[in-house]
Amino acid sequence: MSFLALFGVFFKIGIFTFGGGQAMIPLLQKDLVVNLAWVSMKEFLDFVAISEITPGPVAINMATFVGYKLRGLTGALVTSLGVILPSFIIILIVATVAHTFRTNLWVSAFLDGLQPVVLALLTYAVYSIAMGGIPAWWGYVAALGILLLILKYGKRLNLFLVLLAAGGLGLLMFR
Amino acid sequence: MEQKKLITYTAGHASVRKQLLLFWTFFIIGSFTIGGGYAMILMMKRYLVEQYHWLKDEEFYDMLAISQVTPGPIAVNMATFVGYTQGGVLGSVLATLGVSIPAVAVIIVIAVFFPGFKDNVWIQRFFAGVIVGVVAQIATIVLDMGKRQKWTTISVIVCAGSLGVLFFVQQVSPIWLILGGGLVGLAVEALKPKSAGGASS
Repeated sequence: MSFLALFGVFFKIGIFTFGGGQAMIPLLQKDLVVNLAWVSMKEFLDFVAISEITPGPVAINMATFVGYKLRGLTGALVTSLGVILPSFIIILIVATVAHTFRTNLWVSAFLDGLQPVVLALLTYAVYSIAMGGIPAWWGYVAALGILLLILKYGKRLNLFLVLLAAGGLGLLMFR
Repeated sequence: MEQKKLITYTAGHASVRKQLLLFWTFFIIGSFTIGGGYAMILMMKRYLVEQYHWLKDEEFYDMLAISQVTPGPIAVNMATFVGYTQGGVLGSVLATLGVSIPAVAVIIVIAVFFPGFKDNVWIQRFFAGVIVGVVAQIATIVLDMGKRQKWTTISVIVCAGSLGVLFFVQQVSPIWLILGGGLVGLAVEALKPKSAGGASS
């Protein structure tokens, strides 16, 4: 496949997935595994698994993986750029046009209306990530404990160290 | 009469130092958040609102909402948006690169040097632990949003209804829920009894 085709697939997926990178996974699977048959289902699932446990947006991780597998380093850069560019361009347009989000009554009403939906989406994310990723009952207890720590100590708590400590706990306890 | 909030989003102008700080901040955010875009939200809020005061609380949540109605990874959308408001087009490029480079780099390193990465049992256990922390961090954001949400009968119904759909009708794309919420907001505004003039300014 050409670099242009690689770029095109990821650019298209970058345009058509709303609601965050995880929403891209089914679309990517349809394009890459079923329609184009560029990667096998097993490879695809491996890519997803690794993307979820590595830093950064899952969509970029996926793009880099597929690009690297198909066309090496240049391929990885082409696909990553492809998946990032639509977001970048669209937000730049929104930001340029929207000098006055909260000064326009209707835009303001629209934003007020969708805040409770965003809240619901995040609540559901807590549930689904916990269900999919926490392997033992005490993990839920630990999550609650960490939540209370964050609420109590606020800014003084380094969030990265919290994640590292949680990972350390996982090394010791999950079997 | 409710006073309308005046928030303007314009291209920021920034010193070289601030541009570099934009890049570095998003690079850190991109490097240290595992588990997808939602996991980044609390860390972004820490840096952007609490540490650097680039955004007010309300602006942060507005941008988060907009990042969900626009396509693409939430973290990239946020980076571009914040970068633009703080440092213009250059700022948006730097912030976007900052949040993306770690994701690209780590995958290339794994693909080249550690093909067995995923099957390592220690990596799996470590990640299962990290997820515990991620869940707690997203829950923190949920509580924070819940606290500042203006709870009216309608917003309670919209929130509960969305949760119902998410739990019981799994195939619905979040975009329809988000747009639905926005339309409810518009309808509420349109049906509001128009009292004394000047409400729009």
